[in-house]
Amino acid sequence: MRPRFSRFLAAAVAIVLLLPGLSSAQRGRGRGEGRITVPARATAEDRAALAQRHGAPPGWTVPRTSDGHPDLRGVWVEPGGPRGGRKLSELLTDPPEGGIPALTAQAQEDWDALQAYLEEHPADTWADRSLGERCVTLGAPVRANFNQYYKLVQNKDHVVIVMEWIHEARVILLDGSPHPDPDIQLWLGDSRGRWEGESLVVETTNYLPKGYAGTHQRGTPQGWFHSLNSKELVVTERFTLIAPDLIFYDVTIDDPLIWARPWTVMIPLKKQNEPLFEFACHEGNYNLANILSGARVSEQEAAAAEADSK
Amino acid sequence: MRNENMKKPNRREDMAPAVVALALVMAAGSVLAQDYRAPRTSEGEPDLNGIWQAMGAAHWDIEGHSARMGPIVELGALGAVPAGLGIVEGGEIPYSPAARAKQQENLKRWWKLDPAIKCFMPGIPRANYMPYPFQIIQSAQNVIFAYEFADASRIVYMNRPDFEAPGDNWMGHSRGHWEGETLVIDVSAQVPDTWLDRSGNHHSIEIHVVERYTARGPNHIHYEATITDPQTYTRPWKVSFPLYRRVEPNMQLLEFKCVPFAEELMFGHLSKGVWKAGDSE
Repeated sequence: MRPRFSRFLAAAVAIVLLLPGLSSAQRGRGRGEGRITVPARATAEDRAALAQRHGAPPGWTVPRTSDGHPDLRGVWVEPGGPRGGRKLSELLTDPPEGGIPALTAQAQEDWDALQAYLEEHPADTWADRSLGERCVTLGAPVRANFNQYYKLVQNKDHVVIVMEWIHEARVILLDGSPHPDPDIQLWLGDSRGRWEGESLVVETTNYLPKGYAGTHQRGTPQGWFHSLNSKELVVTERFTLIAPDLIFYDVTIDDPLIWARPWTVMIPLKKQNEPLFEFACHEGNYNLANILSGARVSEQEAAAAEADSK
Repeated sequence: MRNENMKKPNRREDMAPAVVALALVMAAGSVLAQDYRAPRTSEGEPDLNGIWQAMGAAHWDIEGHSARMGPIVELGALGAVPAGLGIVEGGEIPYSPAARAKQQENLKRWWKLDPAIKCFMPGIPRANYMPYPFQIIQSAQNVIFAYEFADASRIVYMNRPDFEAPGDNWMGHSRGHWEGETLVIDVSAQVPDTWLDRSGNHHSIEIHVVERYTARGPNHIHYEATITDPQTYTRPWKVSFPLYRRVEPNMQLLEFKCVPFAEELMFGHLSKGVWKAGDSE
């Protein structure tokens, strides 16, 4: 079996397998490699030291595109998966003392209500299932610990992130144009980028306030970027090529209706020498039909058992 | 009646100089368009970056057709099919008799059978004339096509003729190169499950498409695709149509993530109780 297919199988079951592992996310504390990030005012010497520590040959400098910007093109993966990944909390760089912040009181109430509903109604309709199971989206920003492949393509006015899962091409505009009207809401949000020194900085707004549907899962929402969001969510991503095959990817989640304070994680993205495959998720989604029909069978069996016992 | 008949030749004569003048202008225009040289990207290639969309009724039926009633009575005029001149060169798709018969069968229940109704990726060339915009983002090694419909996308591998498809794809395997002003893309390895329009026009797994994108002005690409599929057609055939740049200020690609619009259709029969529009989706 080709390694990539194993990875797909892993991805296919990861939605389920990852959940228990992340349920203790909030208790974790920032530590280890996750604490490494590129200081905003890093000097050339700082960078060179970091690059060498991460495998860059001496004298390596950031390659540039013909537009003069750092060349981020390539296929990247957040090394993860059920066994290889770290908890989101371990990737935290802010708050500096660690611990993904608490939900606001209202968000906690909404989350608890959703959990209670789903406990009673796990599969009444397709709408009760997660966005991943439904092949709608895995969302943006880049997801931690999913072994997901991302292909970055860039030119003067655009960076595109093609996500293998659900074949979404997220187009980030660098031309200085504004976000659209707030009433225009998008599953992946609306992304505008700019170059700040050596980093690509992307601000994303206009999110559909339906991210919670992405988790429809047990446990705490602190393990996922997309577990909960309101239309106030602003995500700031910072891509910094730090060595030939390594991007330091800082992402800040700021949603005052959901989180008690903003928080930031740093996910190291590793370069791959493999192509993306087309992941025709919805086109081959027998899973969702089976979940629903299985739930109906379970209900019939339960009803029959109850009738027998009377 | 008679008077009208009498008038017609006269009117045509009156218009003759204008028609000749118009023909000259059009001929001159087409010469200019043929000679158009697109601005260059920073990598020195013709710049096709932008958001593009086809106009017309090809997404209903790529062959020339009259307007016709739609299949859903409740939708009345809004569900009816608008007329179109067609985008097939020569007018008709050169189907084998059996393949034409299959198309006619498809047409009878197209709204049940068209895979796009389920929000399945539309394949090539159909994605390029659906009534949704798409964006071309160029870079030397790859050209990305991002389609609003179903979030379909393509990665075009430039100058890598030896890179065979790693598997079959709904959107095909795209290998490109430049021939002067023209971006040529070889599209192989498409699944047989897509259609070419809403009229049951179809293909087999043997479909092979060669696309040609040529800028004919700052806001206009001439698109051509040659389609070969010996299992379905008696000879290679061609579609061609213009792609127009969406020139609105701050034009951007939005989302048409249509899976949630098709789930009740596809999975509603497996639900407990009734999902209503407006419920959580």
